[in-house]
Amino acid sequence: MLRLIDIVLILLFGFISISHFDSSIAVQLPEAGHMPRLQAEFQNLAVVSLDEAGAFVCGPERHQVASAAELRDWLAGEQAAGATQVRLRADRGRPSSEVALLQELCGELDLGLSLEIIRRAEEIRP
Amino acid sequence: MTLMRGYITRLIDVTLIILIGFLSVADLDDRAVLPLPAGLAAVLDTLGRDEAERRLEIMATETGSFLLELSSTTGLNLPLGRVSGSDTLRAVLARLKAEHQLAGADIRSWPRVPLQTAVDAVDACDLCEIPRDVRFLPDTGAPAVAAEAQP
Repeated sequence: MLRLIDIVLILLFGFISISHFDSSIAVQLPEAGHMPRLQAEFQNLAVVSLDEAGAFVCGPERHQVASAAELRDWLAGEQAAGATQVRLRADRGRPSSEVALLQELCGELDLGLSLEIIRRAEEIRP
Repeated sequence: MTLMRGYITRLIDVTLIILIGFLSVADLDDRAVLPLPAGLAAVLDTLGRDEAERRLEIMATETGSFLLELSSTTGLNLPLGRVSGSDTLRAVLARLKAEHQLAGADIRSWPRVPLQTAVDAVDACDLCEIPRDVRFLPDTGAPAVAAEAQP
């Protein structure tokens, strides 16, 4: 019985240690099986989410922007606060043009942009 | 008796650890051969193998298919046609990589193409270890008919 409790506790600590807690909104990220792993870089990073309905939700405070101009202002504010990189968490079903919009804004502000992807298990190789 | 029970418990622990270890590194890869579209296979067969460095343009379209075009430094500009689905794209890229000198791929995603489709093209390049450049095309209001109309 004691042994069982030991194992359960070890598993529990294991799960807790690999759990990822974040305050960003839930979106269905695009999936890929062979991309390099995401760099665990959280400094100078501004996170923008693009939800299923097409709304840009910015930062941990979940500030929803209504227009491209407002998004640009938010990005400029983040840049002034020290951000050099933007990470986009976009719903997999959103059109590419919305990524292009953010790409353009980041280009204007000289900010780096990366897209967050969910890594799925290795697939069948052709 | 207590000693025996201790040994059994230890044995169960070790077995569990080994089992978890094996599961975590298990390769559940199941290889398969994917057929190429007949027309495209014929085009690939006619390509010379001594051409100079080639680049492949992959255009992701709204229907989930991909338009492929091969270009080379010698001026070759050869539309390879359309492949549907990311599995077929991977098979085509693997063959192009294996049989021809492929320097890289330029992935272009039309404005209304779902993000997942563009990511599938990137993933296929990564699988085949083909250096790629990705560009999401902005919505300029122009219809994407030109891309869709190609054979």
